[in-house]
Amino acid sequence: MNPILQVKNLSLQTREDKRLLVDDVSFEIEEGESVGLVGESGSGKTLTALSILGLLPAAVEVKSGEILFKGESISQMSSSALQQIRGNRISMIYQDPMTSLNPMMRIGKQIQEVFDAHEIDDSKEKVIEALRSVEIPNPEEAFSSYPHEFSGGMRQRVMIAMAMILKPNLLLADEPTTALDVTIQKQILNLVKRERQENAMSLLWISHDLGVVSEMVEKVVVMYAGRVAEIGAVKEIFQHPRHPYTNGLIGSIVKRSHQERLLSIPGIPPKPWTIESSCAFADRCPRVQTDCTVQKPAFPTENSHSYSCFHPEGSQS
Amino acid sequence: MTLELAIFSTLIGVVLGTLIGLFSASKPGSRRDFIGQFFGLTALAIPSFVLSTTLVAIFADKFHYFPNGFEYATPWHNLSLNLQQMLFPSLVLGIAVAAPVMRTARSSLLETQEKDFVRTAIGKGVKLRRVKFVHVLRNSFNPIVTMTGIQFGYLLGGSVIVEQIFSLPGVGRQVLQGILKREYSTVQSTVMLIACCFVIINLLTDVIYRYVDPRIREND
Amino acid sequence: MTKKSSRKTWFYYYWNSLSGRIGLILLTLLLLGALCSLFHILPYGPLAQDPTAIIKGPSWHHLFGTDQFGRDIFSRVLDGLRRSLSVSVVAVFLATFLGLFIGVTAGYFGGFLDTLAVRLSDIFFAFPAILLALAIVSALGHTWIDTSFAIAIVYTPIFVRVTRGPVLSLKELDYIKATKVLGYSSSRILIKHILPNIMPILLVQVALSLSWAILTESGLSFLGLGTQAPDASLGLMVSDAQSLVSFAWWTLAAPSLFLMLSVVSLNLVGDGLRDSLDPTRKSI
Repeated sequence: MNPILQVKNLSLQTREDKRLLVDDVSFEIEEGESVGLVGESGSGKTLTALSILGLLPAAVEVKSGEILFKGESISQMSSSALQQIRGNRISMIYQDPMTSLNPMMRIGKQIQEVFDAHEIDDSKEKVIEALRSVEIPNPEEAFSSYPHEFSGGMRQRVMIAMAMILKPNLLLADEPTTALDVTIQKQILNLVKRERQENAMSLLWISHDLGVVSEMVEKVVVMYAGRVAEIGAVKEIFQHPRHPYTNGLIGSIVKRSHQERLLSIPGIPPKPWTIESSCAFADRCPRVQTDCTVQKPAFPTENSHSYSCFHPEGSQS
Repeated sequence: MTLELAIFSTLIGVVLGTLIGLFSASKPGSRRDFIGQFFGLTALAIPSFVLSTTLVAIFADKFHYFPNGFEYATPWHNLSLNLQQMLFPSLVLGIAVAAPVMRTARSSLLETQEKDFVRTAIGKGVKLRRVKFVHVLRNSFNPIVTMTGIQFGYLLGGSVIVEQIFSLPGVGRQVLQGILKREYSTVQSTVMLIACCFVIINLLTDVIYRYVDPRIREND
Repeated sequence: MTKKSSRKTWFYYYWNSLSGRIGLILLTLLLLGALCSLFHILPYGPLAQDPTAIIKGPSWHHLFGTDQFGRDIFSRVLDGLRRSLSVSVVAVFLATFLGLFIGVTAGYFGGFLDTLAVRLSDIFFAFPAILLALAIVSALGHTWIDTSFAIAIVYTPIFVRVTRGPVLSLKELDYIKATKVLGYSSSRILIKHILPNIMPILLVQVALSLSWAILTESGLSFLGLGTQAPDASLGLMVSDAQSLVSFAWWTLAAPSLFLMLSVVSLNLVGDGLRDSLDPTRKSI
């Protein structure tokens, strides 16, 4: 039981008006485990992931909470200390491959930068090897090419190569396939799976798509309106969802065979700062009762399956 | 001669403006930013003739240093005197150029800082200093180059006042003399010349873009 | 959208901007000073000479000292301020109307007229302001109307550009097209619908152009092509100060100070207006 990453009661707010964006989020990633962070847009999943590496946008700040990497607190770390970890022990790949690479720098150079940043001997061969391992054709040519000469799928591969080149212990993947075609998506998923196996790496896969996630991970963290709704093993979540929101999510996949936005639950998620003292899902929940609207639900755990609901699925009321 | 002055002034202005813009943009909204913007505002507000007159007053009258009192020396005739004569005028014009350049640099830098690839660079562990200069600055150049081109073109004719004060035989001054002496043909031809230069500058700016931004290179 | 409530929030945003606030206060003070000159409420007449008080430094009698003719600098500065301001205001007024008219009609009706307007204004735009103003003033004359006119011509192209842009995109908007279908006459559409949308951007440009106009006017006066002696003008005073400054620093300081304050205040007002347009982008 060796958690490589522990997020403890993380709360994020806007810097200016102190509006709550992420509320008391906690979860753990074991060594070698792959965890999915699932939720729709606005649920706070991307912000949570960004805060791990200290990459929050200027408008957002940490309100409270801690993040521990291998037992060490990284949320309090100075910028220079964090710099040693970024790209090296923890890496991240992002949602939009079209804008995530420096358009004025050659691809090879951008990957070499990772070596330089961590004072490791950079060598052209290593980079070309990396490009080859992510299945980029003509890696020697690719080395001296610019990002705009590549398609989205190719750029995402470059990002993966760049993130994995120093064999990090943990990879944070923020919806890397959302902006890509379905066929390319599959290739990227397999690529990440393979890389993970080869390097015994832990993975945090963020997505709004429970279906994709289920393929990639062992444990799922469901987020809603800035809070954690449910955490459990993939099988558990699918077979015995406890939180009504998770139930709704699963319902939408089973009905449709291809990934679409959630349409089956009427209404829209509330803004995290407007629901101080009630369950986030109360206004849309088919199982809602009076106590749901007056206080935040507790977070009981049974058999490493936690959920924040007063009246979960499968219970009496 | 106007060309020489324009080149010096633009160089001073761009370097100064970009540096201050960088300084300002590194911590937007902070005291640094305030100082930077304050500079930009004052530099904009000081008319060139006021600054020139002040400089002349201080150096010529108090320290008795006035290289521009001598007849203008071309660079190949007397390089040292020529450079000295260029000093004050280019300083004055340089400050005037620095103001809009600084504004452009600042807003361009601020915009680039928010872009995704900057986040990627930080996320992969690149030291912040390098991120600032290599990633952010280089990608902010576009609007700065445009502004530089505009300023340079402007200086070609617009430095009349400075030329007059420092007795430098420039094109602007020529126009002025032509007007005062009612020699309209001089005015006409000089103005034509200036217009042509302006067009050439615009073309040059385009060429520089092509060189700096690899994306545009592709589309040729 | 009721006019009253939107005007209230507009001013609220403006006041919120620090630069806007400072700018407005400064500007008001300067305007008051200029008005004093307009109504002849000056401590001394700007042309009044006093042979007993030649080249005196700042004192309670003469706030900014006197010049070589014994004239009170403070009064002259206020008078010069009034002159510079009035010339600039008239010039920018003309430029705005001309630019607005050309820009909006060219943008709205398009076609040959539009291309012609754009090309012409680009040609004028290509020239440095001082140079162009110089050339025009030389052709016209030295009265203040001529100067205003020259400056107006110099700054018209930018108004053409500033108004034409939004018009081009506005006329594609669905609700504008709808009014056309409903049979509104073009002039009615222009006045009722397009104009209010351009207003804010226009106002910002007016503030900025005023600051440039003041610089240009004083530049012209400095060169001797604007206001003529013995009338007071900020640029002219700086020019006169050249020979005096080594022993009478106030002859340079006073006009320069007021010049700079005017330019700074107008720029700040422009910034404040820009902030009230779009509160998400803050200057300071």
